[in-house]
Amino acid sequence: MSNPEYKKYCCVTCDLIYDEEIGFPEEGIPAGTLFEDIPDDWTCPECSASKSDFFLTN
Amino acid sequence: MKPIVIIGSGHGGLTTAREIRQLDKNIEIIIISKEQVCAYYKPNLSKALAMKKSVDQLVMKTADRLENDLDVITYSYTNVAHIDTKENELCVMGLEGEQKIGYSSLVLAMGASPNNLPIIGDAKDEIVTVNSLDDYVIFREKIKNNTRVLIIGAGFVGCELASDLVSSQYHVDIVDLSQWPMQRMVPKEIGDAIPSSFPNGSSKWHMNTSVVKVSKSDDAIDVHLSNGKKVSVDVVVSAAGLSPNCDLAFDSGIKVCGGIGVDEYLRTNIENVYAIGDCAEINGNYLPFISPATHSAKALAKTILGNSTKLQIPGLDVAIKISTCPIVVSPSLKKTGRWVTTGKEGNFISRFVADDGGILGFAISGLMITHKNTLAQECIAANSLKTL
Repeated sequence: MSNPEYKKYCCVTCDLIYDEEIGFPEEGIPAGTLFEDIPDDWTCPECSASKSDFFLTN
Repeated sequence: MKPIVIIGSGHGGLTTAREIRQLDKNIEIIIISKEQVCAYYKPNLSKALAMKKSVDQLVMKTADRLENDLDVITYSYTNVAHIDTKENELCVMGLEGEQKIGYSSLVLAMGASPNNLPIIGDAKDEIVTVNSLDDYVIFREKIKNNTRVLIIGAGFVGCELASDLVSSQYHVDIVDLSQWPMQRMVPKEIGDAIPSSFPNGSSKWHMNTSVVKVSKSDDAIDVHLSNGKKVSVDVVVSAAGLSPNCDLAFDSGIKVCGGIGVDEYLRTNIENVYAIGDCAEINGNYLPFISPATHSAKALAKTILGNSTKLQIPGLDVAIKISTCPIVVSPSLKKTGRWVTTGKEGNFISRFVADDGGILGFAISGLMITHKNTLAQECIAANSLKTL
């Protein structure tokens, strides 16, 4: 079931997209995890930027 | 108060600027670059074809956007001629001629430059590199109407570039003096898995040899190898390693070892002068990777603003983006050890083990890359970085 409320966030440094619908399972973040529910000390798996360095994108 | 000046607008320089601005809304920040200042992510240059990105799409922020978003002043196409470390002042030569810029703190984020190769021949000047956006513009123009590309260097940039080109239907020749691809970072099993994973007929790997001469022929470049073979291609690109940009620092009396020497606070031997990223050597460790630079920028921003903060790096793992054979490497800081490898058919787990049994680093490939976090925990080299 696809949830239309899922959002995408982009890393300001490396352009990596966090898609809430897909998550980052290989990083221990299951599909469907909302961005706000990711721990604040989480960092970008590509470039180690902070969670606060991600911005909402389409 | 004089501004904070950052020389270099790559990942280290821009991340430092962003981290400082997050902590202090008012302090003046100046970014100086010998290239056009803009935000792009250099590791994406060797993956851009597969990402379906044009050169313009690789630019995430222009200089104007950066000035606006980060409230910084940028100087593009500006060379720093000299650092006067007594007067805390730079002498720069830019589009508006020569001028002096004072600093309260100076951050050297000057990156590294492609190694010069001892190659002769009348096509020598045709060899391109992919270490900056300006270089990459030339590379993309050259491959526009051509299909045969030769890459000098089978390190991780060479392998990523080969993968990227092959995924867009190019034919690649890869030349390297080592015995297998990425020899300095992975064991033979994983290195050999890379060529085997490429589609049949898409690539030719020339190992144990080097390029000695490149010469122009009718509508091709003839590449002569040290093993006597000759390969005819359209474009030659060099991805044969980088050397840290240290000349300015050295000429200005700043201590240079392999890179610009800094301690765990990123401090050089000169007060208020710091170095970060690919130009820096941290307590004798050369870590030319994205993650250490990001963590360095976060610590350095605090230190510069008066809250001295030691660099701590949680891990060193680097993902190598080869679409047919993904690899994650956590390089060992020590060279003495041996690879212990398990797995088969492109899916390997390999630990780099010291004489005393400690795990210094690792390399994993294929389906095994999901074990990254488990291996990182075993790895004492990564752990030792926590207290560099």
